[in-house]
Amino acid sequence: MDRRKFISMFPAGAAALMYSCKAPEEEIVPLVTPVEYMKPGEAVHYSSVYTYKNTAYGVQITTYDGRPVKIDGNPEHPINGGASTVQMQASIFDLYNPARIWKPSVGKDKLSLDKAIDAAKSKIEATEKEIAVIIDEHCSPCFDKLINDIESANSRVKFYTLPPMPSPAASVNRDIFGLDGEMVPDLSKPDLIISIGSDFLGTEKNSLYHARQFSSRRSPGKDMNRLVTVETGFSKTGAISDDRIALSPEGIVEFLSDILRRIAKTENVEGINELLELLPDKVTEQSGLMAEELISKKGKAVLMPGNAQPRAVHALAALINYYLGSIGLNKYFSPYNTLPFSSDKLAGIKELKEKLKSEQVLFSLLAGYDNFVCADQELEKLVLYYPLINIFLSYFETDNFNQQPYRLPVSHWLESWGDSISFDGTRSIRQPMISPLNEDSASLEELLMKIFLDAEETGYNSYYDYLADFHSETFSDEKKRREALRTGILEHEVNYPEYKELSPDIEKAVKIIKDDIREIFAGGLKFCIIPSHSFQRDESPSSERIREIPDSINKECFENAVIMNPKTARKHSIQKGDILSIKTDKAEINLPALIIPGIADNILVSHFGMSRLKNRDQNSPVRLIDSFDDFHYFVNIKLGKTSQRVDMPSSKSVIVLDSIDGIREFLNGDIPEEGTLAETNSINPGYEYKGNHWGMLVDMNLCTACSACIAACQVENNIPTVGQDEMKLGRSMHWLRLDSYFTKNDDDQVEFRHQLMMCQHCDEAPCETVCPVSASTHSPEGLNETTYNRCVGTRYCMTNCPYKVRKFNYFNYSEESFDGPVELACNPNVTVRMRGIVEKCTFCVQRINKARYEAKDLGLKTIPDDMIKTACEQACPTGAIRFGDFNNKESLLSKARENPRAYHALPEYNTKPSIVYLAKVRNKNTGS
Amino acid sequence: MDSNSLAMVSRDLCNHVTSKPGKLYWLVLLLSISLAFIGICSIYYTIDSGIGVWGLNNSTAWGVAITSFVFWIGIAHAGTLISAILFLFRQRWRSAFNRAAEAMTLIAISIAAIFPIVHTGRPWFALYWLLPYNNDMGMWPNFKSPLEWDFFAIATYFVVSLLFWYLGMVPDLALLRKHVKGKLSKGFYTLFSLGWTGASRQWKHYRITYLLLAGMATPLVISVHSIVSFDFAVSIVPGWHSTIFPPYFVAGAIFSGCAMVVSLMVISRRVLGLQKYITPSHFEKLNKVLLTAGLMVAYSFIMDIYSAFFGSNSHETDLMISKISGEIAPLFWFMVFCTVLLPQLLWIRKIRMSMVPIFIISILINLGMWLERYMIVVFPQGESFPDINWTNYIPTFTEMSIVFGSIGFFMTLFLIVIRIVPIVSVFEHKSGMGRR
Repeated sequence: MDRRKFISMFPAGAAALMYSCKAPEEEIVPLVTPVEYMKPGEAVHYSSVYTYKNTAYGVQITTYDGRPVKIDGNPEHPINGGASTVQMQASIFDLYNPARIWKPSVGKDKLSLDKAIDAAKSKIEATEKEIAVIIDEHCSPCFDKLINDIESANSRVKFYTLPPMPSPAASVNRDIFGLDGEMVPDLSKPDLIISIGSDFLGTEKNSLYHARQFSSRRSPGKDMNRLVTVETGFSKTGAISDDRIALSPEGIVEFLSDILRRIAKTENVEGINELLELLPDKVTEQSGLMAEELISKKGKAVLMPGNAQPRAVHALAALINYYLGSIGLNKYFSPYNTLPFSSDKLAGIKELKEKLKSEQVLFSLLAGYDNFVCADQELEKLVLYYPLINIFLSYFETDNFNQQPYRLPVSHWLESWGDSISFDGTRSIRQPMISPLNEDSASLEELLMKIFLDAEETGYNSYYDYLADFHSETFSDEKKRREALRTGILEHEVNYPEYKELSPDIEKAVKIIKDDIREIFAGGLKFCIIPSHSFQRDESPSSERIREIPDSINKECFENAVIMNPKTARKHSIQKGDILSIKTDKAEINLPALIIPGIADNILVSHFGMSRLKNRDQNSPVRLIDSFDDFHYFVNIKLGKTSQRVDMPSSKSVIVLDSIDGIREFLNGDIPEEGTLAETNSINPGYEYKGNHWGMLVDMNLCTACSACIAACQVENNIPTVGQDEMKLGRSMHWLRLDSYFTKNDDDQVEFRHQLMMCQHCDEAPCETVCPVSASTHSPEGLNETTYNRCVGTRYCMTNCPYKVRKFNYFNYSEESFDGPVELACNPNVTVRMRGIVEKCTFCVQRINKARYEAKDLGLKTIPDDMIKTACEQACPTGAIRFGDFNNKESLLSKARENPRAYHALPEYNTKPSIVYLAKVRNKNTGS
Repeated sequence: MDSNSLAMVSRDLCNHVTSKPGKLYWLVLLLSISLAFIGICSIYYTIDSGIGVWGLNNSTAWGVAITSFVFWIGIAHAGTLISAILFLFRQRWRSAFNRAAEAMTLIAISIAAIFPIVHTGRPWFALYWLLPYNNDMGMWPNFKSPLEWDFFAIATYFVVSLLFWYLGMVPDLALLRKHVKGKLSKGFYTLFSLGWTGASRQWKHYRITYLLLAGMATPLVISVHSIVSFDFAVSIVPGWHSTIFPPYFVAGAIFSGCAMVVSLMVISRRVLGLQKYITPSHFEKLNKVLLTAGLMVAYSFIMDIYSAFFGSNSHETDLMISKISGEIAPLFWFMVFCTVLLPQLLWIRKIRMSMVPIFIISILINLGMWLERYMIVVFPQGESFPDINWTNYIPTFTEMSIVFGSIGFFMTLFLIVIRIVPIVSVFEHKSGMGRR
């Protein structure tokens, strides 16, 4: 589709076309007369909601001439408040991805959507057996009602929620407290947070909310919170925590047992002796200290068990939390803040398994899955290889299921109506930004509705009708409807049920732990699976853009690996890049080895959700897991080596330094009074900035290494992807990068330091003087500008840049990266760079210029710095990045210069950077 | 001296121009052209697909292309040194080498110029955007950039060397005008000998002009490679940013240039049958220059290491430690062997005078000097700044084939030149004989 046809196809913007298979097209905002607020070439923003499992984030979508180009957080949304994730940012590329399914298929025939639905319908009606609809977790109340309606209208249809890697949190809460659901704590309140293998700042649900709440208490001083992470792998949360303890799964249980025992002793808890006897009695210095600290912070501390932790760990953490007074009404874990639809799914899954085994089910509708992978291999095989007819409602083309006869295309979330509810009761509305690019697709809800409900009977022609009816209070009132669409949030009263006092059921806890502990302590070499940094829909990253952003810690991208610490590697004489053969009784996978410090001793760790393959990934670590009935995401394995090797990110990708002076760090309470950011001397007179003098503040103390800034920058600035081979050659095009360093090599207990690195916009820029054609110049506002048209690509600037932030287009990356419909995702305000040109961070100069015009319209001489937010700043969940004006003495940036934590990167080169870093502060336990 | 022997000198020295070349010549030419052709194909492939076909990455953005550029500019140094400086010092033995050395200079500069252009991202613009000309955009190049200085220094050196070479050839071209047979070639030599008759008034003006040009060319010997060294010395990269670089580069250039003259002349003398005119004692003197330059280079190495440890830049110290004891150390010590230890054999007069040893030594010196430039240009980029990088730079076949292709170019052009002009200055030789 070319641009003209594309633009003429839909009335730009506001609410796009109503789409229906049967009913004639109905336009919400018809363009018969031009829309007043729409100016060609100017951005219009709309509110909507982005959901990831049962988490909902409000979003604001930027569209140009009816074409969505950027997704950012909605500042008015209480959960994410304007912040975004890598996945959210990259989702725009899914919309225009040519790999979408464009035509429904029945067997080998390509049909129109109506015909394909009819074919599926008639097939379903012909059978007497049950029809299983398998869906992932969701948070839409309207969809929930639809499910109930479908199930009650058709007794043969049954819905099963099947998260690929379910969490035991809900089942443990149900057993112990009688509360079936996952509670979401408010991390702005506790003084001490202990993460038990929980990457709540990275891969877990509601990570943006957690990051915002957690960071609100990170300013150094008495009130600063303290984060301790106990984990097996190396997560972002672990990397930035004040103390990090690497422990094996057994070690974690021992650690928690000791803490529980000590708390029971000091708090005189009765009735848990039976439980305590079950527990291992290994005492370590670490657990002792931790218990002491927890007891001293009773009522102000909270334990966060991770989703991939076994039930025993969740049970122990729940009990410790309870005895510390952290669970209950108005406490950190409140039953009123429970994730929507998060009740335990395992009973349903077990039922499905039984039915599949006894061949009671003939059809399965895999709704929303592209690549059906789950950490239960038994179930996966039953669903896919059993003589069962699969009807896939999916978004991307995959050809791994040869036997499935039906595949119906699902539309993108930017193309359809929907709603969501958050754990705090916030209801948000999802509105279409664009009429479906694929005429033969419909939203998941709509497809299910069309297959299972009779339009004549129900009277609903489309899911929009259904939704409008569900939210009739808002949708029947035009004023309310408009306001809801403007803010993306539905006015709604939250009715909490009556609170029942929670008290733990020790007998159930004993049962959980008894069952679990034996298996955890079964010896052997353990292989642990943790969610990957690029974890997304279908548990696989959908776009190249996500896969190309390197992991913040170990810098792996594209390829999955088995990660271990150097000690373990030496013990098994493994070199980096060796392809290992990992065997259990039933399965074998081959993955390359990656060696980084900081992993627990004698443990192998691998990520789930790294592969986005058209074909079934035989080497996904979940292949080793037989069943997730007991929530054990680790297995005992036999380790072997194959003769093959691959290139892994090389030695320089993970730098181990004995002392890092470049990246400063302080201990809380140990911060000097005086700053070191003094004016440096130079024989050059230097620039004088009369109007604005732009700069940026990067507070490394707030940075959670989430990489959302990298993704946001990539989308905003039309930065191409380069692909796996080019990444291996060291030619990434990201304008921002996270430098990560380890302070020790050998031990499993290491300290991690990271620094966000981008163009420093130096006043004495080494790149400016050396360019022979004056393509690199200094602006009167302190920007270090690159004139793409003038650049001939001598790359002198790259070699002379001490920060190594200048990127070169070694090939015509843009041409490949923005091929076909993907070019529609380009920001029209930013030039797409050709081959042979050097590029780098521009401080989002297009946004500065937009503000310049706006300021001029307002009659201002200089631009107020609060008019500008760079893309990275906008995306950052913790406000670690702040763009500002040095000439504005009131700005955060100007004030930061006086901060004792302020420093410049590589000050010895006297480049006078415009980026001010604030050093990270670790809040160690000082005993007081 | 009787006129017969003078005629014989003319005949001998012009022989390789006037007579038909032998099979050996064609064979060598074919080989050279083949090698050059591979280089041309690789250049085409590079420009067609992008610099990405080379092994460069984001931290090592300059690779073997810039290494070879510095190397060939270095080779170009011997020409002016031998013809201008030795002329001013009245070193008569220079007449055995000066014509060849100057030809070598011109060819080497032309080849050197290919590298930075092919190496740029958009060579179609790089070709002329570095020129200061009044264009419709009102854009001028950046005169602060060492690359711009390079452009001027090399262009100046090329023009002066060309003039100097040509001027030194005019009497010989007039001589050839008599000796060649074909109508076309006669016309060619008539045109380029500029009506030279050998009148004493012409000789008088000629000698003054030549002397003046020699005086003008002499500073260029120092300036050109000093300015090339500024590409590195003026930057802030540890390992590049060093005040010792200008003299260090000049010494290195003279060293490798003289070594190249030795290699070339040992072969030419044999192939063209000029043993009578280019004698071991000529080589003996040239080898003394080579040895002197070698000692200067060795001194520079020591000073380079000394300043890395003496200076307070820890990045530079780390870099030097890594250079002499890290992964690249075998290459470094091999380079030291070739450029520092091996030339010490030239203290022995017997070795200085025997052709085979000096040929081998001179070839190894140039190999060592290429490696030395590789270590200067490439190594500091990847290792100097703390940086998260994915991989080390490993040159690809494409870029290495351009490097080898450049040797093919060089040989091809040299072989063509010796078919056009006498490789030893005939009139200087005659006058030298006359004055003995």
